[in-house]
Amino acid sequence: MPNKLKHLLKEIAEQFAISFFFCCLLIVAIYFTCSNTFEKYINIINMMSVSETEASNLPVAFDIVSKRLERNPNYGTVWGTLKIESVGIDLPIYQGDDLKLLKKGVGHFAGSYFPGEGGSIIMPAHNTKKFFRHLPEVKVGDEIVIEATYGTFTYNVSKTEIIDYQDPSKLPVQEEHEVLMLYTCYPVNTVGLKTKRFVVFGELVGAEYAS
Amino acid sequence: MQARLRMISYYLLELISTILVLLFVGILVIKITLLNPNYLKKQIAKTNYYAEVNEDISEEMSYYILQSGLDNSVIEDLHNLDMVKKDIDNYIDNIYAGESYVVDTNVVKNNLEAKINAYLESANVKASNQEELDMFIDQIVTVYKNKIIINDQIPKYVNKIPVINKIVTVGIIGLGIVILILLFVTRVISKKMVIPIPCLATALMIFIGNFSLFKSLELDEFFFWNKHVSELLKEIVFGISSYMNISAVILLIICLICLLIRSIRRLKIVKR
Repeated sequence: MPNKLKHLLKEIAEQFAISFFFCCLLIVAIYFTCSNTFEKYINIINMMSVSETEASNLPVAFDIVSKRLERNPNYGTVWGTLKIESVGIDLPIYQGDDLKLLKKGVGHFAGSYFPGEGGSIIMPAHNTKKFFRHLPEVKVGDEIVIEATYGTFTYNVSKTEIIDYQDPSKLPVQEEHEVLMLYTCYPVNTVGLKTKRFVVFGELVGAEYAS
Repeated sequence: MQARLRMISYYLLELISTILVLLFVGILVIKITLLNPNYLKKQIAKTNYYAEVNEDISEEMSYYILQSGLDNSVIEDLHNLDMVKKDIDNYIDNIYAGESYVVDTNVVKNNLEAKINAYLESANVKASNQEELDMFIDQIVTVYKNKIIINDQIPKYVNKIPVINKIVTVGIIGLGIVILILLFVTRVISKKMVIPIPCLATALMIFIGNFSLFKSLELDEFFFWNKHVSELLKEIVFGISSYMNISAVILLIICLICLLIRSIRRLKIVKR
């Protein structure tokens, strides 16, 4: 092989070797100077990755001693039924209270307590015939039954109230005593965006836990 | 001594060229992707975003119908795909021009008012509280507006885009000129091939960087704001990545062409 050709091959090999060396050098430099920043942003992006399969499919479980749910129902799933016999209400209860869920049944405000936990239980539903149209007809002393997957809870209506939709202080989340708060948009027989809410308050009178 | 100095200068200048070429490619890709409204529109069209938003608007409007005492018919055909597409495109154009954009909701509002009046007349219902009815109309119009603009905070962050665009353009031209001068100086000093090393090293870095980045990112289940926005963001990231890969391939081709030309010249000399 002529010397010139050998020289050419050597030169090409040298170009490849230097390129590879520069590449490694710069990667090492970037790694030592910016790896923490990169890692931080990658972690933030990965935290935004939510797998639906990650949600637990285990049934809701209640600990009678601590009076707390051991496993909460998954958001958007049905965990019980609400029954008010006096006005013919018999509806599924969904975990969560966004407008999409309220198209299907009664919602349960995820920031409130569950039946049996001894705090405020807040449940909204639309005022249509299918849902809470007849809620304003409920009288003090009427019975409300919640059949949850972990037990049956009976409440007696203690009072009803009409509140402004921008006044959440009227539906306080507290843990001193168990209060059921059902509400719907009010009045039920007008058209437009309702600015009032009709609220039914219920006091716990009986609880039966599933074995 | 002088030869060694020349050699050191050659390696040093080639290393600087590599860094500058990498910067050049990175900025160029940002310019033709993130800073380009047409790229965003292309990605939007790819992810079926317009149709999804159109459906989303109908779906969210229906949430307010249930409690309003009105019939579903009042929100039917208030908007259509063309209208949504036009509004989204205008919104993007205005953002990239650094101008504030107000979604024209008059068509939706007028349509809705007409449909509500027709419904009330046909159902023989009288609106007892005009204020509640007006609030309902405003709510529906707001649903349309919010779905188009995604978040009213966005324009606050993107109103600097025209300035950034100008700086980036100047930066690309400046970097290009600096790279060319640097390569010329390196060539004069060393009398060696100067193009293959920066091209090959940059291409390798892009391939390795892209590979390791996508290995660390869990983009399959990525969720931000809502499903459509998440899909759009993912598509934008994949687009940027593929542009980077294309740039790397182009650099690789340039490198090979340079080596080939050099080889042919040498072979000709050998034959002679």
